[in-house]
Amino acid sequence: MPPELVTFCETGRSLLVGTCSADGVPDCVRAVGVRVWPDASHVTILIPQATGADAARNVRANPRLALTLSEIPSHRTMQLKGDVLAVREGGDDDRARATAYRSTFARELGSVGPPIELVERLGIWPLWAVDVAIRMVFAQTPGPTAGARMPVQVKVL
Amino acid sequence: MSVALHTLEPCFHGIFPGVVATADRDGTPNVSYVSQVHLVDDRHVALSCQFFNKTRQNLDVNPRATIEVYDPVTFQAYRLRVTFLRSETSGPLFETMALRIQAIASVTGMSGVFKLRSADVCEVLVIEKREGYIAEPPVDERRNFVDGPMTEIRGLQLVSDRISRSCGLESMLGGSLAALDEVFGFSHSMILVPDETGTRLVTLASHGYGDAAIGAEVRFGEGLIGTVAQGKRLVRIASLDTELRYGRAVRAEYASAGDRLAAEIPLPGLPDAQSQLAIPLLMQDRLIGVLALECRDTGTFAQWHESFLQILANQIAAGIERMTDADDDDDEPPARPSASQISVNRRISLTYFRNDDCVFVDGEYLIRNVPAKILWKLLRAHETSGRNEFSNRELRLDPSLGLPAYKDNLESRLILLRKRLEQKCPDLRLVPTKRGRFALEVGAKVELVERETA
Repeated sequence: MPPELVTFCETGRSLLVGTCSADGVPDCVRAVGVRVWPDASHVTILIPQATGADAARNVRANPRLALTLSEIPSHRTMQLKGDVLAVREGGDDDRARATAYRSTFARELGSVGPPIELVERLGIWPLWAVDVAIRMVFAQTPGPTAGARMPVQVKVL
Repeated sequence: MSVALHTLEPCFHGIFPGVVATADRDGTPNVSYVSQVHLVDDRHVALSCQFFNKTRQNLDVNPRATIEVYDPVTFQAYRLRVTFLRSETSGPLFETMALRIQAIASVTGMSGVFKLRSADVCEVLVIEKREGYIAEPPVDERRNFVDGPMTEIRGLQLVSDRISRSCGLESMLGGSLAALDEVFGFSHSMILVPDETGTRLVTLASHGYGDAAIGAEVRFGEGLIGTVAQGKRLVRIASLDTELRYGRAVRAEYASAGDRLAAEIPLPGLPDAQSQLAIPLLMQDRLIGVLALECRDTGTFAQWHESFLQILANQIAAGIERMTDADDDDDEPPARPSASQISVNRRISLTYFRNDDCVFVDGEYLIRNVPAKILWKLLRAHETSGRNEFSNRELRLDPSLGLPAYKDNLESRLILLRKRLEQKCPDLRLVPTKRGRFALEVGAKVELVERETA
């Protein structure tokens, strides 16, 4: 991903994770943080265990995963698709990242309505840290070009 | 935890957009916000489809999907496991969902560009509260619903009483809107009626906006009110800011793709409204007017409001119809001319522009169309013969006014004229004297000028 997309990913966007079970049942769950690796081709997604049990089970059977990142005030949105490499128990650094993310997300969502204190109640711990190799990036801002593959060179493992 | 779908009704207001996950044949997932998740009945929801997107492509090859919706007050998440059944591109469900998008599209200058392509109906198989998604709020912050059925019944009774006891259209409309405020706290409301061109609505009664709202016009198809008039269906918007931001995001995408779009249209009413509800006033399939309510808070109008307000709207429509049909004439001859209270020191100049039937007072717009023609007729009669008493019947019989032979809405035109004079030209007053009669009171020396064009 180019630097502007990396910045977009790491600044309090709404994070939605899509997975699919081995028998074709899709699932969605809200993530509470994302870290882009230095090679800009991998990400680690933080998913609360309370709501992420199905997602964790799905990716162990079918590693394909989608992550939609949306800037709430502008609806500027993109979707990453890739393959899960590992699902780990989150550590202290992941917890700290999720806590910081929740505050940033609360401010971003709070700028268009709901009280920040409300969003600060989002559950984050314990969490799964899910490592993903990015395969494709899609534009998803609502409009005529939503779904178009973005012209991004992604290093594939 | 099992949850009944109807108990999640507030989650479908669109204050927090819903999320849908789908997958293609190969098991590659897709996850996306969806602009409308519509509650169809206790077993079905419908997703709005505005673009031929990946969600829709996936549903065509794999009907399984998961939807997540959020409570607008607590932000609690609920997960719906669904199966896609069918796409509807016409019919009541489609029209209802399309109108909400159409209203936003018209405001953001995208009428005909940004529109609903289909309502994708899904059967809900499982509903789960996402335990652990968010900590429960303290008890004192939980939703405090108004007291439901008793409030509805009292409100219906009060407004019904106002309608049935009203002796005139003006008091019936004003009394109905005041009652909606007294009982339900709906502090900003208005009733608009179609003008004689059938292309515009004009505000005949308002509550909470001051007198300036009277006479405000909305074109059919423009904004929420114009869209409701055109579609003859109720539309409710729970979070105008959210919907407009979505519409503007779409507009920006079209604009960046090189599309030329119409300008945004300023919304009538409160500049910072968040919740809006507009209900068509219908008799059979004929549009009598639109009842519009708005509020600065999000999510003010719930589904149960729609139900009982629809009943009130029917009563108001019937009231308008009854009073329009009323035999408002008597056989008494016109009263003899009487001296008006004229201030010798004050002069006003009224100009009538023939090309668009428009009257200006001292260079400022006053009124147009049929009410303008009526005013001019009254002023000319006053000027030439000193008359100041008139009857509805003589107006109805005057072909130059262009009133239709059937359902002429004369009473509405006179109310509008009276209100506009109160606001813009207080030296002229129309005062009802008895059933079907009124007096023109002239409080200044009046100069009448006719011109072909402005």
